[in-house]
Amino acid sequence: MKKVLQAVFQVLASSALACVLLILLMAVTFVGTLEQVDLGIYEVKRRYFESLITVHWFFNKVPVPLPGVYLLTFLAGVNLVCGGLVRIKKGISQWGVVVAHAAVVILLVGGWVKHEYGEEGYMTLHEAEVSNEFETPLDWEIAIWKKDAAPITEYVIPHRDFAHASQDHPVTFQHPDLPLDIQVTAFFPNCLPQPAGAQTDVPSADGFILQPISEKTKLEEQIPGAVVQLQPKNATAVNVGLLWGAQRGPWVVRSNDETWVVDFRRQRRLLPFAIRLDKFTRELHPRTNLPRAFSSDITRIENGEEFPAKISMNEPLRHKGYTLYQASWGPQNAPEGTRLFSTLAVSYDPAERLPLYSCVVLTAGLVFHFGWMLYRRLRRIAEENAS
Amino acid sequence: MALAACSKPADRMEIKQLRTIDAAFRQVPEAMSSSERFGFSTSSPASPRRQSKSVSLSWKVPEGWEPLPTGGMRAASFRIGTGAECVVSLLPGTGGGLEANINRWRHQMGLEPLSSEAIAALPKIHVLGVASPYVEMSGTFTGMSGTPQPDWALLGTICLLPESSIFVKLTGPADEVLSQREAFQTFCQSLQQ
Repeated sequence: MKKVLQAVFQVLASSALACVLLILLMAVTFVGTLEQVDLGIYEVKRRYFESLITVHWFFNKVPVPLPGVYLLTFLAGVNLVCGGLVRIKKGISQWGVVVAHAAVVILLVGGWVKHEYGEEGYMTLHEAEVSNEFETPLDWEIAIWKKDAAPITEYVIPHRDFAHASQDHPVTFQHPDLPLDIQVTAFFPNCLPQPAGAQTDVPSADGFILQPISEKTKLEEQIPGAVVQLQPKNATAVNVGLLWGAQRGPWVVRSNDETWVVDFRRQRRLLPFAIRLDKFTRELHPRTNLPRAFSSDITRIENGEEFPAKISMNEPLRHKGYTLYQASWGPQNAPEGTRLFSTLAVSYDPAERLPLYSCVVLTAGLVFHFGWMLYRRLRRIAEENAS
Repeated sequence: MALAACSKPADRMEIKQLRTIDAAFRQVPEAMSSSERFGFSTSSPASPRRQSKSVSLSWKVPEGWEPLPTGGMRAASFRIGTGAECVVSLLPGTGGGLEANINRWRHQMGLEPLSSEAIAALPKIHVLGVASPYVEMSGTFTGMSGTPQPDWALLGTICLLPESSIFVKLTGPADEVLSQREAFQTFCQSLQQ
């Protein structure tokens, strides 16, 4: 048994494995980048970069299983620890190399933490608008709250909980403080609302149905929809409504003498601070509508205190692990005087500082290693000259 | 964990996420009908969130095209001849995607779907400066009414803009539709933002 474990360790620590992993990483990154043209960035991330194993169709005809980047980077980390930290000869001449390997391990850990616990999304604000929320790019949520309540308590159902709902398998959501149950009787990943017409075999509400569309559309371009029923806990009357990702407003419905708002929107995340857009500035190239530069003067509001800041294309705002970048603005081609909006990309990375620490450790390790090599070389030359 | 992943999803769940929000962060419009919410009519204002990325269009109406009432998703609508109709629709994003929508139109005409390669090879017309696929289809049209209409035709184009899509679709009896081919293309090319 010990021999088997030793053999496994030898393989995991070998430089041959490191070479194979690097070649596979290069190959998967290459085919994944090409696939992005057809599949879109999020589907490619899911299939090639966040998976343990994937199947790539070469020329759309030949299926070839490939390891995913998630598995490859995990194995690369194991290889680095086994070969670069455990098996390596310890001594002052190797100390710098060990430190450099440790720095790369820190970098990999940082990447893993960001993948597992990081968040990304967008926040769109008009001038004078304040928000402490941002929307994630892929997932959706159903939110229900009582109209005219202050403050508002939103009951939020995340995408993963209703994504499997269908006519054969409806899902009911409840809460002890909520006087009604919400049943999702169908969910369509990509659909368009259409007048119901003569179709009777699909659920309809208020004269409309949701028409499913092929899921071949890129993930980020799909507009999902759901059929929901509101069932008061102490009454039998049921309200049925359709929710669609591009609807112009939430479904506002009377149930049991109370007015409820049911919204269907991209999943929202709360920031630990609020952002107010004070002024959006766009500079155009002379005599054109092409933007040369654009920036947002914002105020970060936290615990009642206000902190003004400016976010421009290469100058993000960083605070509490969140980074807010200037992403876009609109409406595009708007004439002078149009009320513009600014869209900020929001990225949360709990390990935001790890790449910096990794670079510092890596630099220290390499400086020590090459410094030590130089010192030994100079000492040998001095000894040769002396003899 | 593997057992949990394989287990049947629950059909009754408790809502676990509660958020307390200042009412100022939630501007809720008055109750809207489904028609208003989905952009088929516009008696209520759209929420600022969705309205902000809208596109306004102008166009040159071909001779013999009679404007019809529009609203919301329908930016323009025309009656042509006795039974043909041309509709210009605006949708956010890609409105479900180019391939899906062209094949949805083909399904409505009782035709087989096209492959990605065939869709990429469709002839193009320039709409708002964007080379947009142009389609002509003939067959039995089955629209939302569910009534099959034999010997009908469909002319259409889909223009994908950065944040929205424009769908122009002319349907009706084949002889009336196909006689409007040139007018349809001229109309599409006359669209301006």
